[in-house]
Amino acid sequence: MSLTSILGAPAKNAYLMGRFTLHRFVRCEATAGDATAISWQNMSNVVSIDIDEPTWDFEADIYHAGGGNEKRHIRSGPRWNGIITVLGGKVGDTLRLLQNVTWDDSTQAVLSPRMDKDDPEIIIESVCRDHDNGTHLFTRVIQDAILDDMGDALGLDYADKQIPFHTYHEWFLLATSAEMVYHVWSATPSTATYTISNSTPLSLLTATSHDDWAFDNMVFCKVKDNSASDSIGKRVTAGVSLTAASLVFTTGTPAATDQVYCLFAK
Amino acid sequence: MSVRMNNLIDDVQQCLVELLQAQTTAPWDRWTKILGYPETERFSEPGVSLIYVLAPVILDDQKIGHAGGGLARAEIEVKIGAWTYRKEGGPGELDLITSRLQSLFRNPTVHALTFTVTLDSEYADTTLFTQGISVVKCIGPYPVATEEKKEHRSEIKLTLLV
Repeated sequence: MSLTSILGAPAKNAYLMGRFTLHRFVRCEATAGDATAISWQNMSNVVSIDIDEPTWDFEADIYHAGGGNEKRHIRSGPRWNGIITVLGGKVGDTLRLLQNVTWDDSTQAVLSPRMDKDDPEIIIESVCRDHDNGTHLFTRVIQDAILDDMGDALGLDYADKQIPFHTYHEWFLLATSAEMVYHVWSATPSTATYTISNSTPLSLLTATSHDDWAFDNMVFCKVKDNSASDSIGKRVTAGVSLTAASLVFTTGTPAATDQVYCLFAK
Repeated sequence: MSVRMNNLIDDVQQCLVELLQAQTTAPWDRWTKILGYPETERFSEPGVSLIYVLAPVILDDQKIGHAGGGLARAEIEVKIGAWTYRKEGGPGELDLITSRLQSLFRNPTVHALTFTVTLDSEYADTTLFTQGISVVKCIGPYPVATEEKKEHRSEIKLTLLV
């Protein structure tokens, strides 16, 4: 490598065309499939799904006496805002799909643009493929997205519509060939072991090096305590592990009526 | 293998011709697919509708480059034409050919269709994707004037990334 090195042409997979990307999702509150993983649902009519860099509830540069001008930047409370852009005529269908409601003239005729809850609703996988639609490049995962209040615009001709969302947990990129697996179990009292559908959960990252990650091979494990009016479940950060074939609790074994959620990759 | 950058014009043209020749189901089997301007074939092979692939033209030679890079990937345009005679179906057949061309190239599955082509060596059952050719756009058809009233010509324009 010299100062005058000239690189070759970019590889053919160096450019990414969004029209070859498959967007799909699962609902966080999917009906328990127990040992069967939740099926991802394809999203039709999507133009793009974009997510911004985070904003922080609190950010500061701190010094301490005797430390001179050396400072440390601290921050907490991240929030990522995003937009799902949909072909205008299908915004209702997409919203209905994401919210898992029946929207018709006999069941529920209105889709409200107000999103009053702040509960995690969907996990989105955007499977980026090369232009043969068959070569997987990578996947972008947006976890625990919460739909936001919607505005609307009706242009004269072609009109996209935007469904805003936010999440308090980071989005991430998944390597070639890897895909997410989402399990929901109805807890059985005193049962500490929950079978997963895949025997080879991938090693994701070194959790001790990353905030908001508690396990090397799980994005999260949540337990929802229905008896305590818990509406979204709490992320468990210790006392559970994902092994080759099952999720095993060593402490905090879920009680009856609890729901257990686990997101990992295969 | 991707098409050879130092033989870009010819390699891309060859790949497209072979791709079209690999389409052998009806009605594709009614049409002769050739490389380059077809005047000689047109008049030596009466009774056959032609699909011809003209030489690519580079529209943007720096379409996808990277810092510190040499050769960039280019955006190129290729005209693919249809030429028929009234006895071969006339305007109806012409429209059928250009419609089939459009549906072939507008569908992303075109990148996975197999064909065999000889460039620096023979590539059996290769694809546009394997050859590094990406179809961006397919527009037209644009009518082309002919000297003979009973002849009908029309061309589509393909935009490719190579």
